[in-house]
Amino acid sequence: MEDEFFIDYGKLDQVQRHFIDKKTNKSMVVTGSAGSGKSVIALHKAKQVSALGSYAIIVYTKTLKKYFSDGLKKLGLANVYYYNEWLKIKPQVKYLIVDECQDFTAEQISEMCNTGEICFFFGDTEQSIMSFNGPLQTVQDTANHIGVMMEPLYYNYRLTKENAMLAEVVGKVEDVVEKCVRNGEKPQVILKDSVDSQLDEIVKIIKNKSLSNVGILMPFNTKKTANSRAGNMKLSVEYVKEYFTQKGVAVEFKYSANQDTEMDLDFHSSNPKVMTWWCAKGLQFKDVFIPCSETTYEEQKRTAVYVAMTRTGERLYISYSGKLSSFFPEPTNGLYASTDEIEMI
Amino acid sequence: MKYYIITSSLNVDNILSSESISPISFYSKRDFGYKNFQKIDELNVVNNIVLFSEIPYFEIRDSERENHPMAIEIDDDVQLKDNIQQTEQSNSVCQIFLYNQSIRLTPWNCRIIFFSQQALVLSKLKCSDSLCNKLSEFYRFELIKPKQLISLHDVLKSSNINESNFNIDLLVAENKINRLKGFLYGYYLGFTKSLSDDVAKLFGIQKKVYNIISSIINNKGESNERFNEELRILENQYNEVDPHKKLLRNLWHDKVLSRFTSLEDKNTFDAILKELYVETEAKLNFCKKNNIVVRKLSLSSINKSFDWSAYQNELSSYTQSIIYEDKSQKTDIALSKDFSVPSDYSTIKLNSNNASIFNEILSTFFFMERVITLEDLRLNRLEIATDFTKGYKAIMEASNKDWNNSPERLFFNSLRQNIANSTPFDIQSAPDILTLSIAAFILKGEDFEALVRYLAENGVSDYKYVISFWGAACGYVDMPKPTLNPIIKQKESFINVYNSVNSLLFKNIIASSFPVVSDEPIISKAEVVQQQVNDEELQSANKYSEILVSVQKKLGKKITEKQLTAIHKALESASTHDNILSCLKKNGIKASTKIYKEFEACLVPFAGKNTVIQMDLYSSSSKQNSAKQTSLSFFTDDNRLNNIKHLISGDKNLKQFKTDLEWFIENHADEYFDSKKRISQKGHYSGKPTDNASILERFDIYLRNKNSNKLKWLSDIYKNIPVESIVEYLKTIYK
Repeated sequence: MEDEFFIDYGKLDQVQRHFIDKKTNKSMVVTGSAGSGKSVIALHKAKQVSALGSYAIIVYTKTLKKYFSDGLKKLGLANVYYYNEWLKIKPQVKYLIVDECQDFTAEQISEMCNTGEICFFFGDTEQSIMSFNGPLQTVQDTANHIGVMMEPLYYNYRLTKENAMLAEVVGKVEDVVEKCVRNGEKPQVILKDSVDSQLDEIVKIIKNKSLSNVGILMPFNTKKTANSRAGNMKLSVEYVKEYFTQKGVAVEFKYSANQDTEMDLDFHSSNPKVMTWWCAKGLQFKDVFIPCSETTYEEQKRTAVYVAMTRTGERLYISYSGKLSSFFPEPTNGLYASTDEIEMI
Repeated sequence: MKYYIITSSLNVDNILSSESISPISFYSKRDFGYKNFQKIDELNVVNNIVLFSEIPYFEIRDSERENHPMAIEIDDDVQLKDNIQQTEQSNSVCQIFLYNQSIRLTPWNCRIIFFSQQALVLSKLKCSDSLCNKLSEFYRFELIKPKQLISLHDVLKSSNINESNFNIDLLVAENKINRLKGFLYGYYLGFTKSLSDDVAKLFGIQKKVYNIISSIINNKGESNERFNEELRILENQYNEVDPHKKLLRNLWHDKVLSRFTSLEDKNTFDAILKELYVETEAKLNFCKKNNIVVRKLSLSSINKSFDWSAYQNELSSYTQSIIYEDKSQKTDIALSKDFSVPSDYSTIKLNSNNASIFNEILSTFFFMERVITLEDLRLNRLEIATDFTKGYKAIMEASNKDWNNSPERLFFNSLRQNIANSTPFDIQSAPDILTLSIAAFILKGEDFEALVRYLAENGVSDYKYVISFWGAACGYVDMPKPTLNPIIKQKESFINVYNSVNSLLFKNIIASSFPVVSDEPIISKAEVVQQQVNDEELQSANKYSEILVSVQKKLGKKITEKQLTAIHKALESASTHDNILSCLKKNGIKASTKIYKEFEACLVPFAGKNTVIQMDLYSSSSKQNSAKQTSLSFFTDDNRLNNIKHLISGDKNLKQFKTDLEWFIENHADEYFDSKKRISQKGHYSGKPTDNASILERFDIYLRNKNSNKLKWLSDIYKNIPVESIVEYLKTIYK
């Protein structure tokens, strides 16, 4: 994990290098899809400006702040806040860096701009899913607000082409594959009799393949919410947590995107992390499991499923019972991996 | 003779991460590092490396990027003499030379020179953030004012540059050398990470316990019978292989139980100790007398208020201290003796009678026939596993060994099934360390952290082969800095490794120690260049607002106007971090106040290397950052509390410990300001030695005295503070 926060300058594309080498004497707004390297570039610009003047970095959630905490220590950066924390003091600084700016409203952006002389905003409008506080400001509007051109990071270095092909279809998003640079394994689709069997299969795969960087992403927080909104309490983080715990399977979970909850995740353990699609925003895992994909969700959840799928840097597993949700292509589709027969040598 | 290469500061990481500079055409064709090189306009059409006898003056006009002139001074006649070519020219002041192959740059044979402080500082920052730039801290960065009379334009005008052609063989050799270097550093890294069998098992168990307890802590401390039972089993397994417990058992038997003639009497004695509730105390005192440190916490009394964090932390730090002891008992290896490399760099051989299969594997899969890369492994894992299986089969059959009924056949095919279909696979069923290493490399090799975690969780003891495979597949230049840092930081042993590798690959030994590099940029005897940069960017922005912001973050509006005035005064008058704290006290902010403690905590992050760079930009004085130590000192390390916080559970205990620690350190000064009495007095330990051994011994006594203090509230607190573990742990950090 430590490696993630250093920059492999030799592997940067021209555009990424341009941002790193760019002078820090004026504001900028950078957009890029999940995996384009926005957040790492944001941290490194912070490092550069930390030598030039006062600065503050704002991330959206407490989980994100914790996720970055090791990297921040390595880079020697101290002034990092999650939004609610920043609200309590609003320091006046020369440089303000904001990550995931698409999750803020126009008022919040305006408020942040008032506290920084030079502002760097990083975001991706297509990952805007935190609209429970009101309508959010697009990255383009933020650029207009500041009076700068929105500068895009084009390539995606996290998502593999194979996972992107599926994400494009599910999210009804264009040009995702074109931006991907890496190849990888095709997503796996797993059919089991029941939700419980799906969870058992997930545990089996994690154990047999010794997976140590796993996200298990669910649509709902609590059993009550899952029951009332989808008629199935098993579609919740709470149910998965209880199921695994009573089976003696060590997992960690986070209930909600509420920034001040105490359910902190330990990114030093190799326990699978169970959370909602929203909570997973900004995070990345080597392996992502999305169980209960037989459920038919309302259309506005499509983006959230897309964001959840794009959390993976390597392998994606879609499990279901009965019939696969209409969000996904049929299980026989060539987008999914097939099982190989192996002959003994 | 000294030569100078001029280039752009945008290339600094490119050059220092590969520890070389190459002809332009090499970059796009080599297998490692950057695939391009930023040219300067005047040398745009030249492919060879251009060297000058003086630094010519040149400018770079780039309004968008931090793109500044930079020069590299090289002093290495041994390397350059055979192939350097002087150009024809009429300018006798500055001669030009050409070189058509890569020049290896070491901390001894070169200096990195800048014309402005901004360029130097930003370049250093870039190097420190760079994933692959491993040794930049050893290179000398300097400021210089180039002589404007020697203009690059004029020098080039008066010369005739005739370049020699690009030689593909030289590039092929560089690619091979990069992999060989990667292999050698990987092998050594694996050696440093290897453990004895018992300690490897111990580590594996601790990892499992860590995961389970993290899960319990995440669930607000609620455990269940399944977890509790698993943890008890793991604890028993841990105690079985704990070398300290083994030693304790043996000593207890030899010195105590052996005094009883019959087994019945021995059992009675044990029973009596238990009955009187003194068994634990007796054994702990016995440990102390015999200098054995054992864990205090156990799972025998799990209940609702069980402190899981304390148990997890104690187990982690105790395991780390055992690992440290285990590693310190190892004898270093000499790569230059253990390996041999042919002159064409085609492969590498381990000079051991038992290494024939290992050497075959190296040739076949890493150096000659097939060259595996990490990306290859990630994308074609099953195919590579199949190739290894077939390769191993061929090797065995060539030595007339039976493949069909061999454990190797079962093992490799089980590995392939696991990759293809996620079937169970037990790495410890490997017939030997080589097959185990091959399997681990295939399963996890593309990700170093995942690989090391996998080895640890499976209780593997010997890491040399598997990490050497990783190193060869990765290549030296692309090895991440955090991975190699543990060996680089051990400078004395690292210089031996560095020399061994150089000796094997380049037949030379560099030096006995790294050059001394100050954190201050060295200003050469020539005039210091005046900064011609925008003062708004580099003005002495003092850190006041940052520190106060951090404090306000914690305390909000609890800081009164009066306190704010006192803080302003303190920050304006202080010039170092120690000063700030002392000034705060003098201005009425007591050490016991929240404000003071928050300032103290905020100042800790600034004790690192980068702070020196920041301080340079802010202050006109050139004070060394006293927090930067070549070896850690308990007395001066501001981070000392953070290192052991995890051993102390409970806010109240931590708060008291922190107060007492502060008092202990401050009382080593000649003068100590007693904030309660509001007077200055002689430090209690004034004049006493402050080397690590002396001060830790004194600290040990100081803490033990707290335990037997006549103030009951204090001794009660210290009953819950693991003084012995703390001191032992501190001894592992502050040697």
